[in-house]
Amino acid sequence: MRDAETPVTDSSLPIDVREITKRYDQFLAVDGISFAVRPGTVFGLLGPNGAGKTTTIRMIMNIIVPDSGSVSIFGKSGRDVAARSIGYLPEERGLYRKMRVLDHLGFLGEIRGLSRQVARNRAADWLERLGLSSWQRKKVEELSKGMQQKLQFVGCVIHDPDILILDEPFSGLDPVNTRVFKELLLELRDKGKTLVLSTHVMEQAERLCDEIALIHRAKIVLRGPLTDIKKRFSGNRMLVRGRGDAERLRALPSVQDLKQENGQIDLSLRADASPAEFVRQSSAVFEIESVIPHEASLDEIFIDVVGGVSAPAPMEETS
Amino acid sequence: MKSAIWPVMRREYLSRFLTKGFWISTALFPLLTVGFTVLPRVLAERTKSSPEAVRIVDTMGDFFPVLQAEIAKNHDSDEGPPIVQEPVAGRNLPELKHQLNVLAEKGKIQGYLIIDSKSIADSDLVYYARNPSSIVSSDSIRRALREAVIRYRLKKLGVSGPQVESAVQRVDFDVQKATNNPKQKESGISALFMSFALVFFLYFTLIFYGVYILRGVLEEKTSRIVEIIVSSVKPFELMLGKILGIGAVGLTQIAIWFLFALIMTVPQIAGVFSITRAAIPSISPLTLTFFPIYFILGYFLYATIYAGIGSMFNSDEDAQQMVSLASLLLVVPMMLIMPVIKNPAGGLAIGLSLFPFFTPILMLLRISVQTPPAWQIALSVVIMIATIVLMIWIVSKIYRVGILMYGKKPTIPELIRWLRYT
Repeated sequence: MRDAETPVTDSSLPIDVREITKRYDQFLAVDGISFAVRPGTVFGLLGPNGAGKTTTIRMIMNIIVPDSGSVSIFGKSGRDVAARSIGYLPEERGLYRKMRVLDHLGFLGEIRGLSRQVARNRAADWLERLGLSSWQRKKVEELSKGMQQKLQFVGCVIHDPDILILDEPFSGLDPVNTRVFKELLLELRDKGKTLVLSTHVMEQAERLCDEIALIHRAKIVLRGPLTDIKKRFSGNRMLVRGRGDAERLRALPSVQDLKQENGQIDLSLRADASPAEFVRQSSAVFEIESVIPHEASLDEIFIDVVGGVSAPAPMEETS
Repeated sequence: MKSAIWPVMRREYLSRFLTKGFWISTALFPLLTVGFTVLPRVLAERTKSSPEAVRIVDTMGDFFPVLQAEIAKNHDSDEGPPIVQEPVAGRNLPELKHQLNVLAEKGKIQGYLIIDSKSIADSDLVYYARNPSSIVSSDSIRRALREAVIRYRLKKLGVSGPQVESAVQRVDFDVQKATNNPKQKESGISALFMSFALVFFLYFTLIFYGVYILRGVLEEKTSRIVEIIVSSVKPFELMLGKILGIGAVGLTQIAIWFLFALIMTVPQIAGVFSITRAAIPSISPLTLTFFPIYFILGYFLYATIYAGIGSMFNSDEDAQQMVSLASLLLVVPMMLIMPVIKNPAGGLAIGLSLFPFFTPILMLLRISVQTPPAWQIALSVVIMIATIVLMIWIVSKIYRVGILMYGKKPTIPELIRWLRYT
């Protein structure tokens, strides 16, 4: 459909988003966002509520069409490609309450191109795995909330997609299900699936993601491998404890700056200096008890970049 | 990828067919229909058996026997109350009225009638009833009284014997369709009754299934399943699958009702319910042909409208206002039935029946009352199909945006803007 405009895309890239923009009247929901997700990795789409994460995902899923820019899934574009190769768990998710469990999962498989029989067989396998076999013929409304959440997850992977996009996957989960889900996700990643995780809860992203893109006010403000980003924001900082006059450390050639807090020293090394060098130099003036490299948490990075509390932009202007 | 319409349609069908709600509504409709036809009779039976009399205050003295003879004559067929003459000698009228009013209030009598020479001369009689809304008893008194007064007057004029009988004989009046086709020579009243019944049935089913659609769309929004579905199914396919699936449920239900009606008309079974052959009105083949056509066209038109309304809102309450507006499109033609029947070939009737939102009800009505020219029927079908296509086009745009909008009710300018979203 958009052959002429579609740039040459890499068919090995699970998701390649280029310069997508979406505007609702005066409100710019997504403004020229680009990123690529490499196969077999966990990609975190992070940002405060209302930043444009869900709109971005909806454009990847082809639920809405970008005003400009392109999305390609393994080098192709279009709803059918997205529906078949991506399992999507939206933030707002639910089930048909009156349907029977197996019928429901069968239906979700069918609308993604599986035959009725295959869909039902796979559903039965998943239910067995999650200990819900005996609930197959029950109506969804008879299940507990936790069981329904498991069903939603199965519904999203029933067609065995290569990519999973999960929007706030852990919201509303109890600790037991959170663990079950996390293990399932890591298992899928180990099988070579590609995962995109959208969340505003930074601790989760920190533990799961290989790469992240931080969206703020419709734009990507930070993007890259998580370890690189953390290194960049951590600088060469470390926390030092010991005996001696801390001020004398300031004069050492490897030290950039320091400040003393609660009996420990928050110390920044020069960019070209190594911790070992510092330890060697300090031995003459200071008796070190411990040196702990200080790593900036994603939370700190997030607040650093986004700038404290950010008021989410409204989805629709009030007229 | 093959279209998702089929699985969506099957889900819609199976999730409604054979459910408790389906059986209840399937059973309820014939039950109500039977109830509405049988109940008034039962109530009438009960009124008939009430034993209290009507007192007749005859100040002239010679009127009561005439009235009594009249009532006795009609006794077999009439449900009228017994009448008793109130003695008047030596009592003044206001006092008498007072006593009778007390008796009526106590429930000892059904009412009373005061007859004097003035009221006969003025043709102005008043029946004082305990229950003025008891139509059955007042009606039978009215009928007997009318004839009794005529007989009484004739008697006073000196007419008697067979001359009286021929003078008071009732005239029978019937209306029949003007046609050379002997099969269609049925009574006008029964044809009219069938037209009403069919049109009402159409009205009822269009609203009924429209609300089904509305509920279905709202359910997907409130349960938050919709985003999962539209990530695999085009909103247009979801909408069409839903309309087709629920339409199939509707056709199944109508087929069951039709079968039920057919069984009831089998002579042996009808006999059990003491339904006589004459009581079964016939429907002309033309009406029978066009009923399903206008049902299906009307269904598509209104189902699309209700689907659009469902997609705009998040709850029944929010949707209520728009639902009322949409229902008005069906209520207005129902209110136009009388003017259209009076002059089915007039300009007003033609114009209204070609207005696509009124067509199913009014054109079907015209066809069943007096067959309109073929070109008008054809034109109405063409206009309806064009309107349906247009409505599906507009609604699918609103639907696509609306089903993903949670939260507040949209305003009209917002709805118009939705049409422009890609």
